[in-house]
Amino acid sequence: MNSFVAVFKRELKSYFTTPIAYVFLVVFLFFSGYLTFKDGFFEMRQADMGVFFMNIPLLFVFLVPATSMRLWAEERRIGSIELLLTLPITVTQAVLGKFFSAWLFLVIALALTFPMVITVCFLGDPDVSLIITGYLGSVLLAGGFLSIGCFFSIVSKNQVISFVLSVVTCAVLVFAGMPTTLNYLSAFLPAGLVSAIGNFSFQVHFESIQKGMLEFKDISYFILMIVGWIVAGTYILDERKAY
Amino acid sequence: MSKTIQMVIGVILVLVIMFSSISVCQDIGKSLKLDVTEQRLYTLSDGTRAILAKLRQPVAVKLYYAETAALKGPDQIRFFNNYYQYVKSLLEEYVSSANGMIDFQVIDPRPYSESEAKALQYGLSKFSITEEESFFFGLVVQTQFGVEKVIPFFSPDRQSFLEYDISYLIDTAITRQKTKIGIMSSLPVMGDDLSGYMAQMMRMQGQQPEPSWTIVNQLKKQYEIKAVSTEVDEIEDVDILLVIHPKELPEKTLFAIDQFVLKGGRTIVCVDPHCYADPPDQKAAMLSGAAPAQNSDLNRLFKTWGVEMPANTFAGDRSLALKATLMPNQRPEKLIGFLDLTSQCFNPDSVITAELNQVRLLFAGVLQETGDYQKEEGVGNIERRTLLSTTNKGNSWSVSSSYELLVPDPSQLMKKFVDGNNPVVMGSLITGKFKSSFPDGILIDAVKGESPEETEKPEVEKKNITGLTEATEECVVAIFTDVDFISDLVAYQDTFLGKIVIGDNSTLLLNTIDDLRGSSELISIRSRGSYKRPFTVVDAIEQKAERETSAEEDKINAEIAGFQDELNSIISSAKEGEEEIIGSSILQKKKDIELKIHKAQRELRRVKMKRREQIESLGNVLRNLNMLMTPGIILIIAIVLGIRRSARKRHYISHASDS
Repeated sequence: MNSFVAVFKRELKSYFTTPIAYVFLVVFLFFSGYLTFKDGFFEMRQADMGVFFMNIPLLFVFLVPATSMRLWAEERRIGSIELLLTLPITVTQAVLGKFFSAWLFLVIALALTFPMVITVCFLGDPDVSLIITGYLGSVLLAGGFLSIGCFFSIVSKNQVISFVLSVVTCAVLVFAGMPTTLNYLSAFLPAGLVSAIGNFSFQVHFESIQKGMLEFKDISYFILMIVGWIVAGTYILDERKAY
Repeated sequence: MSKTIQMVIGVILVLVIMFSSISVCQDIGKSLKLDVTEQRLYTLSDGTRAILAKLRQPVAVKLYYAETAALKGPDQIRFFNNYYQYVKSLLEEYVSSANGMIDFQVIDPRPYSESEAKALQYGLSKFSITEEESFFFGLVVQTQFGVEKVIPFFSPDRQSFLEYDISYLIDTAITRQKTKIGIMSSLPVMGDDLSGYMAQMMRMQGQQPEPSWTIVNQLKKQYEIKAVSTEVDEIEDVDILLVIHPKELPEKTLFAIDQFVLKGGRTIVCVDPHCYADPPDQKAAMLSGAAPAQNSDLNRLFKTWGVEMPANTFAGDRSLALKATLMPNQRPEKLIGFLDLTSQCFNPDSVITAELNQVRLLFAGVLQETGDYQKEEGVGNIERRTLLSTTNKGNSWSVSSSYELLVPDPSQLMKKFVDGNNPVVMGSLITGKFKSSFPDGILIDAVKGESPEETEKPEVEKKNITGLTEATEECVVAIFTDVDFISDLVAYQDTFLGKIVIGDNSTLLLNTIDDLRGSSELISIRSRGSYKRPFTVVDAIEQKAERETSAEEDKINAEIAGFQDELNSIISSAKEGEEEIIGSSILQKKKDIELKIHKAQRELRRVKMKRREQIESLGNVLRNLNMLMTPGIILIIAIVLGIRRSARKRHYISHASDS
């Protein structure tokens, strides 16, 4: 446990000693505000954060891989991975430490969008439980994307390749739920498989939580996604540490 | 096997396990869900549960949604996909609450398929997306007795009444339709119900048979209508009783209505403290010397239902008052008794009023609650839902006697009105287990003896008849404190093509009848809670500015009126031969007035612009706050930290080089 905490702390601290965290925060916070107002939040006169959360998957598709790409690729590039893995910690502890520190960083980023909550509460009388589930969905979505980013960061030594692969995978899993994608797939795949692909989409489950229904199928989707990708990543790292 | 291949296989295995577990979890955990929305948007109401508990035979519920076609349509149709998901999850709630009595199917009708033909046969709405594909989104409920009920299309506009609509379909499919309406009125609403021959006879004698009210004709198209006399011992063979303008009904009729309500008969009562559709009989008034009575009430029964309509008291609202002329040669003026109710005056949670936009009432009364109706003796557990009310600025106003309304002067009446701060109720739906207004029964005259013909002067004695003292079933009564709103005077307009409907006056009555036709469980279902959460701050800014504008407007109008009065007085005081001098002074005055009006109008525009600017600037402030504030602060922190760090680095390097 101590080793996990050590990795966790070291990783979190490293975010704020490099400019990447600040760049990420500034870009994320600016665009989350910009897109919300651009999509007519004020004109719709509806005191909820639906418009704000609607843009979260789109922002995260690019920004989460940007935070996760350096998690392992950087260690491999500069060779510090060897040092890290010779320390008295297991691979799982190292992976989880890094993952949770990155996740906490994303939660901090989401927490910094608090002016939006204040705005909505100032303008009207929002359904607070919907705001809470919206944030819960966003945190889970961040975790899901992060686990994918973490996996590709382990797979590739090159940060750019890791970034691109993560973005593509996340985007595919978001857009799988869009009608246009399913339509394209239905041209050459059987209907059952198309609907199964729809079920694998981040978008469908994110929206379901966001509308105010806490369902086992949605929560389990995110947990299984996170666990699955992390297990796969840990497995690769464990096999590869000798190289 | 090389290590890499082994690794790839391992990873693939992990991912396959992951996706399979996700698939499994999608199915097994269906019932594990928690509705955390404030208005419990996904939780069925007690009314629906009661309806589902009544199901004795399995009912087939078929949801038609052209999912495949929707995928090929434009992305906008995605909106329907979300709504479809909501409808489906709500219907799944129905299935899980119905103890296996609902056979639920989701059907995706493909072009030229059997299911598409069936969908069209049921009468579902079809929208073409492409040349081949069509969009369907409707519901069919079928019972084993061959009853078939359909929602042709799920319009997103009715999202808040989704549960009501689905439950209505199931409820009406399993219960007998109530369609016989009895109309009891002191007015000739049914007209002279004459045969063709009799009508012709009347015309030959130079008399015109009285036509029935247009609303009655409209009702006849949908329901079986039966006239119920105002002197009746018992109301039978009627599902819904419509009481219009009950003037001084005899006690036995009141007792009959009371008993009808207690037996679960649905009743709609329209009373009026001053009914324009009830023209005074001038001759009779002259003979008796009393003011002709144009009012009606049912307060004897109302009190038991927990409400009351005071005499000579009317609902008023400055913002709703319409301009009208009641007497010939009068200029149209705002008449405080003539209210044009707008959407804010209708209960958005009642299926009767939620979709109304405009209802006009003429001298409507005030429906007051009487004391603590729940605890009061003689009153059962009653629930009242407001249907119609004024805005928050409404108030009641009254006249000392009906004489004052014989020749009404709008400006005099307006003086009687003071702005209030609470809405005044003019229509209510009252439900509950009522008690009788006649717990001891009533005394009626009864002829003594078996065959009265035998004696010359039949002996009359008082006989006590009793009935139910308490309701056996859930009672439902709708009360409106205006009669004119369904009369031809207000609800319809004569045109070359016949009568046309004005506003939603007739819709209000039709909706009420439609709602009362259903079971009491159905009536208890409210709207599913609105998704609407308005920006109260912005609305307040708008309202404040509107108030300012209206004050400004009133001031300007008063100014203009003042100048015109001045002008008139100059003309009337002028003597002949002085026209020229007067003419020039009038011209000058006119110019002055026009200038003043111009100036005032400019001021008005300025106020309106200020209002818009105020809202826009609020929007801009909030946008900048959300877009720039936190990123700005973080940027500053980052820069400060960066500078500090590089300074420290430099210090360290110089320190290191020194040593």
